Amino acid sequence: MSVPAPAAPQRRKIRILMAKVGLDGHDVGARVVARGLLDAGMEVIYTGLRRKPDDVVRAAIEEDVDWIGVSILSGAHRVLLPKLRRLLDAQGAEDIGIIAGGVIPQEDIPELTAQGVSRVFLSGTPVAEIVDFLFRETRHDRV
Amino acid sequence: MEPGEIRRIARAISTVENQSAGCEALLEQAYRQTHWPNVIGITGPPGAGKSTLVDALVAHWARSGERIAVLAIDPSSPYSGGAVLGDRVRRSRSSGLDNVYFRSLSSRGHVGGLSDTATDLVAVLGLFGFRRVIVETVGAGQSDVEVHETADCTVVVTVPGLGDGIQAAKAGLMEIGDVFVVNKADLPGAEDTARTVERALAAAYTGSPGVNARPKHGQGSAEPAASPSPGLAALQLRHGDATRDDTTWVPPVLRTVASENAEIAMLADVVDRFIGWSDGAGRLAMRARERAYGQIVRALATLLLAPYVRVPGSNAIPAPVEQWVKDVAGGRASPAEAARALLDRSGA
Repeated sequence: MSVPAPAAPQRRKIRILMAKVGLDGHDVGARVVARGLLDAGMEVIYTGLRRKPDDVVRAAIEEDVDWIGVSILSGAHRVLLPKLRRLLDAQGAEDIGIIAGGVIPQEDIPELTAQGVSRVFLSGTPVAEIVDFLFRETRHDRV
Repeated sequence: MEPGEIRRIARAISTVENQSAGCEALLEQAYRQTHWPNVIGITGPPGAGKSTLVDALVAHWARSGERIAVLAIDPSSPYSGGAVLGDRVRRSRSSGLDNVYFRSLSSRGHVGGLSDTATDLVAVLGLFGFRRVIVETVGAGQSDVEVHETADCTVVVTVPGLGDGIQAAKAGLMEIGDVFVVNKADLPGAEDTARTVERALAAAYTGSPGVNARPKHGQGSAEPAASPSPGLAALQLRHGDATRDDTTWVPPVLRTVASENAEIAMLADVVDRFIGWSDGAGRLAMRARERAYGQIVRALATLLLAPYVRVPGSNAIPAPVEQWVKDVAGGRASPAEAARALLDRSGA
């Protein structure tokens, strides 16, 4: 028989918005990562394909996520990722981090980091590495 | 909405979801208000097109400029506790509307249960001026059905091709619907599906879809049921007793194609008509009292049991109960004696 649980503090779940910004339509990579995050006990929210940056930022704020995970296959990362960071900051959401994956050349990473992307995961990174990063870096004082 | 306001709403929702610091004070404020939003529950089996329907309904209601919120609940994994929340994906017409707030929730891990959390969230949304809250669930589990205690109007959605779709859900979907919808009605089999639902309803209801007035002067009136079954009694609480009440509600079965504006407008109209009737017949108030009663009892149970319930993750028997556990398992006392002694000791 189950009894009502006491109001004990529970570990807050990490919430991440999986965004596909821009014009490309493939999302197999994003789904594989989402599955891994789900298995690690996180809450993954999909924005759906071809969302504008404004919509992605609005979604991130509404959902009070810890992270936005952006999957870019179109090569548009040097424009889209800094734009997302600017829009987030403009709305007072400096504490929502951006991680990115997909087709991103290694030599672009320093510039992206300077522009506020917390971490870039090169294509083929094991999902466990992404999970570890998120558990380590998520700020639980956000609530 | 003002800049920063969406953030504040989102943070308030998180505070309640996580029962984090400031939650109690926030809820005390939220429950002290007279402008409760109208809550519309949308549920049904997977594949019924609920999210697309919600998108269309939200876009329709949002035209008035009033604030509308959507709480989209998806199942979480029983193993990891994680969840993939995908209802935002179906947004098209309603995305980009500033007066719409959309929040995805998982179904598990809510202290006190999903149903009470949902009611708390509606209260908080009321504080921020929301007039309507749509709660969307997959009608496949017990908690998904219970969450519709929160709703003022519950819309049960099915589609052709699921065979005996609603019965097959086996989660009591037939008993909680105020309005039934056969969605994707342009698919073959839509009329058959609609008639199956209508026949099932005819077994429990007399009258035409919508509001029915009781015939005067005994004309056509039936005998009151001697003692209705619990299922029937629950229906009568929501929809009235045709032998006793002045007006009753018979759930209509609508056919919709989510892209057809006229059909969406009609669904919206039927929902509003139900809420209007339910309010006028005093049933909305009655249900609010039932809901409050349930919430108080559950909150009381949580408080009373707190010293005796295990800390999550621990196997240890809590100290106050430890000796009694040894005594009952060791053949020296009955569980009832233990419970009475603990109650006496706690001074309750």
